[in-house]
Amino acid sequence: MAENPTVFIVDDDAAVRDALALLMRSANLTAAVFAGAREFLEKVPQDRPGCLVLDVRMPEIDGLELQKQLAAHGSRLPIIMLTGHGDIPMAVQALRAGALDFIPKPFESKALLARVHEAIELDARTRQQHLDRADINARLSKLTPREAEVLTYVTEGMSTKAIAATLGSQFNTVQNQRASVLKKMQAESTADLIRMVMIARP
Amino acid sequence: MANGDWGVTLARLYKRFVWLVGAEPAEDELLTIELEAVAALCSRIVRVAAQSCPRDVCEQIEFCRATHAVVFEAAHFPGHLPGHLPGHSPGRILGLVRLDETVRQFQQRSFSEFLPPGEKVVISNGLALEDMVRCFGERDLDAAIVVDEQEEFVGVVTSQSLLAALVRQRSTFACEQQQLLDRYQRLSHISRINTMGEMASGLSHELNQPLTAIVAYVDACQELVESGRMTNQQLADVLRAVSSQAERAGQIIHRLRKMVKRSQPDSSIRSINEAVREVAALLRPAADQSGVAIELDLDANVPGIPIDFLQVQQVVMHLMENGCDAMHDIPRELRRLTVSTRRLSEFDVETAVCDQGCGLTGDAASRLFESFFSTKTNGLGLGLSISRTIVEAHGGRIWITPNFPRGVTARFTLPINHGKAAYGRESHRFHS
Repeated sequence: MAENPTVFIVDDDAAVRDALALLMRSANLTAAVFAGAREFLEKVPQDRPGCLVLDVRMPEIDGLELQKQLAAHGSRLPIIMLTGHGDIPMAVQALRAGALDFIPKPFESKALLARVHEAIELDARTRQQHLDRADINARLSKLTPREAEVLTYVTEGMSTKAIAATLGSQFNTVQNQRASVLKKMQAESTADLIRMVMIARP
Repeated sequence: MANGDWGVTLARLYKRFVWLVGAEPAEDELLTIELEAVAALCSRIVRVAAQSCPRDVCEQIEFCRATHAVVFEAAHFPGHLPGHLPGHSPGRILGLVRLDETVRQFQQRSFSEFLPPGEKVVISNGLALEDMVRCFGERDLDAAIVVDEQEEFVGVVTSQSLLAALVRQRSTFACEQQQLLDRYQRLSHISRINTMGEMASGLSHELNQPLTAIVAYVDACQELVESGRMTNQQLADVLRAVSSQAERAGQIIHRLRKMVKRSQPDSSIRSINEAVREVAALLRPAADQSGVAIELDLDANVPGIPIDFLQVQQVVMHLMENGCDAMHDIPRELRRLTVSTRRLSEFDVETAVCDQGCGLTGDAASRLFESFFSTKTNGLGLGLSISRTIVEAHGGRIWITPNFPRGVTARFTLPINHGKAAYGRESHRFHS
């Protein structure tokens, strides 16, 4: 069961934090607020679903630094960077480092909420994909070496007959192996099989 | 002897000396005697130079200018040095003629044997120039043999070459001092601008916080109230928070005003022309670089006025910088900035900064003096608003009019008698 997505708000300004949390609540979103990057890193376990609304300018660890640290830990949490007047170079840096977007303060609440919804959806999608991949890899690991070989030829578009010829096996043997691959991979069709292999490949 | 005097004497002596050497070097006894006399004089002058070091930069520059010819000639005069000397002294002077013999003898014997103990002067390598000069002075030397720690022959230092080195060091020093001064001035200018830039960007960041909070609070409330998810008590709490954030924003602005506008300008009677000239000198390097010709048309009859000199300079600087910036995109040959002063009436003095730049369009003209309004891509929008605050605090006014065919002229007036003028001319003041 997936947890509720949370909007993590990191801003050193108490009033901004409080107001943003209320804004999220008004849009029926769960929000969690943190006064600084350190607090966020300490309290939030990796891999929580949601998105991060991050003030670029903070004492000690600033937004860009937190973004860097999260990326180093392999976090995929989408980041919306809040920037101030004249912080454009920092915003560009944030985008380069993979932030979803930056929003200059003060902003229109609607614009921020729209980006937050987008970020949460994006996060859910990447999570689903990640889940799929883990699943498919687990199924792939159950194949015998010969079945894996057959799968490779199948994804290359070879017919059972051609595979049999290449491997020097009986047509029936290959046909059985192919059926076994479909079953182990829980694929409904060859097309489905190919899709799975595409996802599993990095 | 005053520094200038002996510099001139030295130059004259040296010319005579060069002439003597340039003449046929016959075995003329008269010539030898005269050369000796010149060399002795030179060495005495070195002593004087050592004792009366010019103290400040101006004196040093004067000193170098007076002796420049000497340095030049000493350095470039093709010397008649024997080939085996490491070319230490430029030019040929009498002391060396005698030393030739000395050196030849020295090459066959050890140095310590050669000179009687009382006359031996060892100036070791790496000795500071000043020490050498002092040594020459104390012993009344015309020349010295330079040896290393092992008393191996290194070279010959004559009073002449010592003097040349001394002068060269002085002039290098003077140049460095001047460069340092220039750099310092440019830096202080830049740092003043940077401080303002930082202040403004810090302030706007600070202002953003309460504004962001207010916007988010209000939008959230609207949504929550409309969808009936907020109690009156909750709403009241949020409204209190909003009000305290608005107050916070007000305080930030109040702080800015206090920072920019001192309650009473620190005024003394100063010349506006002087203020303009100083700022122009400060901006000239930057203007040269961007191809802007600065022209000053200052009315010599403008009276001294009671101003806060630095603040008024700040206004002039803002206006001139704006002018320079405005001419960024026009052909180089048209980039001309004219600053003029004139007595406008019996009450006030006007300063005008006229550029040939891009001018102003529509909206910009009416919003120029607003804080944080800027037509420049990287402008802070504070220059003109600060300028206005300063000019109005002086009881003057500031305005900008378009030129034909291009550019704008920024003018500001300053009252000649602040107290009276401000009282009598209240109607001229904009709201403050």
